[in-house]
Amino acid sequence: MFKVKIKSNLRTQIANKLRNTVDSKFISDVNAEVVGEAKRMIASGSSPVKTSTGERRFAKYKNEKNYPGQKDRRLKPSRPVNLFLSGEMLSFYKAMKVNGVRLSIGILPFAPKKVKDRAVANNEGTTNKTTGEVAIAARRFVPLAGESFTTSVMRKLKNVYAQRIKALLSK
Amino acid sequence: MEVRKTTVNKLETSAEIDLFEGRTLSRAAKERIQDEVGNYLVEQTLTAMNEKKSPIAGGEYKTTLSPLYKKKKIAETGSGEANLEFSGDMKDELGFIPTKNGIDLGVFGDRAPAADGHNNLSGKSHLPERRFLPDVGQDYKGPIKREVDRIIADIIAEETKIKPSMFQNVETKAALYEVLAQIFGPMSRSELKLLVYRNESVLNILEDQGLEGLL
Repeated sequence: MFKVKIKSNLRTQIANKLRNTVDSKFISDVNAEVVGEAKRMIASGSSPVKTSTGERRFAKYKNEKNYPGQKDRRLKPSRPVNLFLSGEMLSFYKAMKVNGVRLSIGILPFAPKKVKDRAVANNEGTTNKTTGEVAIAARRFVPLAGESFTTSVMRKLKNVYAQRIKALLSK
Repeated sequence: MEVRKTTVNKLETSAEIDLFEGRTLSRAAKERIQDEVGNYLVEQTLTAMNEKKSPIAGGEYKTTLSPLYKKKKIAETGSGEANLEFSGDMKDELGFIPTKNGIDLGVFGDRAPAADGHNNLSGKSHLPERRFLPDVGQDYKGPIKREVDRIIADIIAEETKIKPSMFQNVETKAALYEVLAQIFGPMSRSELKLLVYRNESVLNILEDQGLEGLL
């Protein structure tokens, strides 16, 4: 999960008013705007993560005849590569409240184990244990430590946050 | 954000976009603006193409394919969508390069001629238009343009040393917004207000001066 902590360098009086920034309405807004933008990028074959390797677009399938496979072509075109086969994995890709100033974005902790395993395999990639070759290419959709979301996703987060502060300080 | 000129050759189809518009900015601020706006525009262009929409105001985007090409595309990729993705190489080559006054945004590589085919920056293409790069005199759609303005204003807020003394004669709401507009550039009051809320150092100064209530 990508953890977002609301900065607390604000003056005490303001900070006190922002103690409960993260509530159910805020999470709903983050899901609609921020996670929504990340999913738009994924759908277009672009990573929503500014990766350490700097790759903007998801790696192409290694062997398109094996995956997504000819028989699935009408259900799953080979391009763009968008992490969407049944849609199950991305249905668990959401924001979740941790506390009043903290939230996380990623695969929900209560997702089925097979979904979590698939998510880690896609996010970090896998290698063939025998040959050491790449089995599944890393297609990052949740930032790892030291990484961040892309500009488009972070701008949505900044804007949702600014609207929330505006509402809280106007009370 | 104005398109100054376009370049079309075998290895580049691009638009030069002025992001500084004569502002006096530090080198660090300029580099951050180029990086953040460049990435933002590339990302928004890629998502717009996938959604079969032009990111350009008034830009044409033909959303259907000819029957012959559609058949070929379905056989190759499984998709009959006009999303400008056959091999994916042209989208892979979409990027930006910093210039003196902003960025060159476009397709850099072997697929540059294909990009001109879709955008017709050369005026020589006979393909149906699916515009994803701006020509001289064109602009991005409102939401994209507004966000670019916000990115630039935020970077100016973060890179400029804003001093409490700048607000010493402020006593009214009108005076406060006038000073904010002088620092960050002309924009609506609601945009200036959101800018303050996105930048805690500015918010802290206003709180210290007892001016936060005037927002």
